Amino acid sequence: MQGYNGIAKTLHWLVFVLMSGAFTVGFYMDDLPLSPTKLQLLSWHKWCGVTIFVLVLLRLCWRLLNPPPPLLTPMPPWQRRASEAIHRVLYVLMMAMPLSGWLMSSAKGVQTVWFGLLPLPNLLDKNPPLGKALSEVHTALGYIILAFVAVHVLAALKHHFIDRDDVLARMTPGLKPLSK
Amino acid sequence: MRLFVFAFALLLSAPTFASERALQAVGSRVTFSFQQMNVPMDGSFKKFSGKINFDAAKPDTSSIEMWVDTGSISVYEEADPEVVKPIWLNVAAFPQAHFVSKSIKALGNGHFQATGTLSIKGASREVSVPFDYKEQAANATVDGQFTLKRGDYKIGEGEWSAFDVVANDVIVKFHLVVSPAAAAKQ
Repeated sequence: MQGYNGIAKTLHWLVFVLMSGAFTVGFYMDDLPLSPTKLQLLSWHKWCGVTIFVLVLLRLCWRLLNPPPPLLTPMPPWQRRASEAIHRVLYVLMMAMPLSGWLMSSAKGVQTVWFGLLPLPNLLDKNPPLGKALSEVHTALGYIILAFVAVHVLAALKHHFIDRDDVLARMTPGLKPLSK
Repeated sequence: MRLFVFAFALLLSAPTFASERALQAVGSRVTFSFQQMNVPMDGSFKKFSGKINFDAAKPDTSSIEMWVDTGSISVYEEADPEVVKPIWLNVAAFPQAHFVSKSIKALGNGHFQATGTLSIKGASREVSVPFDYKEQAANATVDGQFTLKRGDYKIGEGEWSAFDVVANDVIVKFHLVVSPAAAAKQ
C-alpha cells in the first residue's frame, strides 16, 4: 500500500479536529443569549475558521507539489469519478465556509482579529441586513458540508470495513487495511 | 433710576459672557469605540443636545453642557437590544448621560480643554475633555475625544463586570457643529 505522506496526513487530521471544534462551537453558541461566554466562543470559532482556511490553502499547495499516490485499489469507474468530485467539492466548501464567516463578520461590523493579534481587513462595509443574509449562507454551508463529510466518512468506512481495501489506511496513521 | 443702572450694568456685562451657540443636529455626531476580545468596535448615539456658551477668546466665561439620550445607542445588531438593559446603561432609569463643564482653558492653536462632571447611570466622575474649536465659513466645529472607564459607571454589571471580553476603556468621540460666533458689533 502506498499511503499519503506524513504532512498530508497531519494536515488532513488537523483540519478534521479543527472542523469538529468549529462545528460544535458554531451550533452550540448560535442560540445562546449574548454573554461574555458567547463572545468568547464566537472569537474562538472565528480564530478556528481562519486557521482552517489557512491550513486548507496549505493542503492545496502541498497537494499540488506532492500529488497523492495513485490509488491502485480496484474500484468501478463511477466510484473513482464520485470520489474525485466529492473531494473537489469538499475543498471548495472548506474554503467557502470560513470565507462566508469572514464576509458575515465584516457585514455585521465585527472585525476578525486572528487570535486577538492579527486584524483581518473587513471585506465588506457594515451592512446589518447583508450580515443577516450571510449568516444564513454560513449556516446553510454548514449543513452542506456536514452532508458531504458524511458521504466522505461513510465511503471511507465502507472501503475499510466492507471492501477491506487500503483507502482509509492510506490517510490514517497506524492503520493497516483489513485483509479479506 | 435703579432700573436704568441695572439695564446699564446688563449692557456692560453682556459682552463679557460667551454667546450661546446653537448645536446643529445635521453633521453633529457622538460616537464611541471600545475593544471586544481585542476587536475594535464602534457605536454611536443618535440623539443628544447641548448648551454651548463658547467664545474662543474668553474660555474662562465659556461653558459646555451636553445631554446624550442613552436609549439612542447603536452598537451592532445583537448588542443593541442588550445595552439598554439595567446591567448596561439602564435606559429606563437613566435616560440621559450628562456632562457639564466647570472650567475651560485654552491650550493654544485652537486646542482647548474642558474639565467637568460626567454623569452616567447615576454615577458622576470628573473628566477632562480636550477639544479643538474651528471657525468654518457658515458655522463652527467642536471636535474631541476622551476615554472613560465603563466600570466607573457600572456600565456592564454581573458577568460583564470583568474586562477580559469587553474592555474597560471606552473612547468617546464627538464632532459638534454649532452656530457661528456672534458678530463683534452685537
